[in-house]
Amino acid sequence: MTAVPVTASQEMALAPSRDQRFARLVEQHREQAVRVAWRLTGEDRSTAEEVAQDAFLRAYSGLSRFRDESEMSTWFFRILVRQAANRRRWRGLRQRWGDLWGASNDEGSQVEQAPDVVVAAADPVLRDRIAGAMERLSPGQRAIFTLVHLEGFTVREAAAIAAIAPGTAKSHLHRALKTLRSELRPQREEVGP
Amino acid sequence: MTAHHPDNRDLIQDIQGAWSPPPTDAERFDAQLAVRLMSRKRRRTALMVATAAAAVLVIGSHLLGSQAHEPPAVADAPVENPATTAVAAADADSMFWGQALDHDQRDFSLPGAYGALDTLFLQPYDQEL
Repeated sequence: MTAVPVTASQEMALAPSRDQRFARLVEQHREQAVRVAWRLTGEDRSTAEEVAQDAFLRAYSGLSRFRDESEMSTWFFRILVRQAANRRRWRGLRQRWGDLWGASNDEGSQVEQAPDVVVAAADPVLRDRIAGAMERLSPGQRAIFTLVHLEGFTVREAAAIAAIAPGTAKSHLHRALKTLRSELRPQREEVGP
Repeated sequence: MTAHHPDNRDLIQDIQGAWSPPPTDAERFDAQLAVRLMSRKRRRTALMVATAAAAVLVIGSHLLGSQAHEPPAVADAPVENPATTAVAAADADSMFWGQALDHDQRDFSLPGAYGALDTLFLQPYDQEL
């Protein structure tokens, strides 16, 4: 069978609309986006969903620039990581503001709550310890560790998402692992075989 | 997937197992996202309409203003020397200065300058007398 050449106008007509591309992006990355936002912000699920939605909304306007799916995915997660970093920064400001004014029952103190992990089998002590250890990491270390070790991105992809050099990403990864090992060692010795 | 060092594998597995969010309700998430997207689109449309309306107002008022302040037509003004036409047409009020300039343009010599001064200051005075 002979392939019929497709003209530029036909190609444009066949190309999915922005809304269709957006729906596909959401469908493909929804779950992972919420998970990454949750792990990076360290807040509850509704906050993570809000951050993920913010990232999707920001991505909507720039969708037409990308044709390659993997390129689009890297770009989307870059937006997400930035949104999560903004959220953390804003939370830090609110906390400092709350400390400054001695507010005890405002929003600033609410964000201190542990994330709402509902993994039934998880040990709550280990879970809290992990959350605490993750808080010890710098934002860059936390992002790279999450992307590479918890989400399965390669170091190169994670570096592209975080907009840093691969060498810097490796350094973040090494330091993050070192910190986590030292923070979680006593617990893991108790729990482990 | 990144291959983990054996020392790190247990640590990472522990973290993965114990530190995960609950699954997202896809339907609710999509509905919320659709609502936010629609309101964002509406806001953007409203902003575009407001910007266009403001632009029309600014351009319209500018055009009306320029018509209101347009100087009277000077085509009928008696201009004898074609060299002064451009100056005279620029502004009817500057006719006096146009004539002086005409003097100046014609003759840059010292008598010429006296002539210009004469036109500017002395002739009107003489006419009054």
